[in-house]
Amino acid sequence: MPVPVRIPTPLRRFTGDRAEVSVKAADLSSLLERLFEECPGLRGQLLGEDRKLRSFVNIYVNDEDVRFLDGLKTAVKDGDSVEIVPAIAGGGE
Amino acid sequence: MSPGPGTRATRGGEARKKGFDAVTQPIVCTATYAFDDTAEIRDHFEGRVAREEYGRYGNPTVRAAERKIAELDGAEDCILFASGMAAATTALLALLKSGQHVVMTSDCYRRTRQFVSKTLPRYGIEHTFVEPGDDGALETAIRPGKTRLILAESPTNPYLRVADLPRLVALRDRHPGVKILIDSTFATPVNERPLEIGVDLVLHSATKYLGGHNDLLAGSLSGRADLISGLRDLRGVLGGVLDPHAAYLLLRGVKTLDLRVRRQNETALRVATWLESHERVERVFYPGLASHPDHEIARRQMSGFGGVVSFLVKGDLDAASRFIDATRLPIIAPSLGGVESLIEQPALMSFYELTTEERRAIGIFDNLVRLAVGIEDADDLIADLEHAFSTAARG
Repeated sequence: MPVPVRIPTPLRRFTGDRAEVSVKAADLSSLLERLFEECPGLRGQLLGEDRKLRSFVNIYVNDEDVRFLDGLKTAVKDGDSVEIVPAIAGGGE
Repeated sequence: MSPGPGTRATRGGEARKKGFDAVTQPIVCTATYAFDDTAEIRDHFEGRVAREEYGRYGNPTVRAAERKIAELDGAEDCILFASGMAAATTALLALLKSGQHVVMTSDCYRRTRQFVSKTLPRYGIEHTFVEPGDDGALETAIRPGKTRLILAESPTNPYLRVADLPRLVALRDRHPGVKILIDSTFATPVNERPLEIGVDLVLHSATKYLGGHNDLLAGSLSGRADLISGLRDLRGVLGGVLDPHAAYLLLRGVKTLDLRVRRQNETALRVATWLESHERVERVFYPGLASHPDHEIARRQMSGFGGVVSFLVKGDLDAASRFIDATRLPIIAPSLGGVESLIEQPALMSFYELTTEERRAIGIFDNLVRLAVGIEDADDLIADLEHAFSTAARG
């Protein structure tokens, strides 16, 4: 069963305007790889040159920030939902 | 070969040359940071330029202290707070949400227990306290799918219980989704490095040994970079940030951490051994003594046993008070880890409002004394304690 990934508005220009892209994977890392195969423009938006998540991108699995789970190794399974959220690290002083 | 704790404390996380060619880290006092133009704001928010933005999100002096403590802890990253409790409460709020559960040992710092038992339930976060050293109870307390955090101190206050960290890590590995946070304040990275054993997060009240001079308040959390990144975001919201002046004092203090802690290890072991054979002492609690229940665990996972010695003076509450009042060298004050020796009576300092029976029920004896040795000469400390025993006995 594919896992639905919610795409935020600023990144939809890389998904052909789709708000949700569903891909099959066992963990977040492979999920992102499948996602990049389908939408190649997203790679540079989500990962830095060190292949780690950019500091201004947060990913939530079932409403939990994956940084507090197992990062890119966080497991995903049928029924889970994934959401990409552009974080504002600072802002609004 | 990775550098030793003395090199990490002195040089770790620091560039050879700092701003203005200074050898030491400048104190950067600024509430906010200037941008060249609006294009730089765009570059910053789109992640093309890494820079400071506003004082609540970061400061170069604080960042330098964070890098040094990360090196000492053997961590990918570290984040500093205005106090140990700001670190603890931010971590608990970040790692737990409504419907989840935390397991902690019953001898954790009283204010941490207060936060977990009084504040977190208001947000639907449940907890179980387990006795230290009871791994069976700890495993039983874990609720699959709900328990997200095990929180323990090692060594603990005031009885210096030492958690068997490899066993805790193995237990964690049997329960996916659970993380371990160890408050390692009493050990310091000189004596024990829990992250190298596999613990997820290490907390220090940097007010104690890391600062080391009884002149600042600070707290730290060290661990995996993405975990610290999440905590950094929440710190920016909750606002428990360290002031750059305190960060500089911390940087300055921590450079001598290895020297100070080795000295405190030696002095505490000497004092504990001396106390154990003293006729006016009922019992001594120090993990470096064979009589301590966790001595074998401490020997396996610690390279020194720390500077705090707890002991029962023969007699009642007043006998212990008379002894403390008769000391001249240790200063009567809460806290520990600094260059000045501090002495206190937990029944009065931490549990004043309870009766003798209530204190005994939570394991605090009226005649308990906690001595946190500083870096004075051990001979002088022992002579002062001997004098205090004989003065107190004369009543």
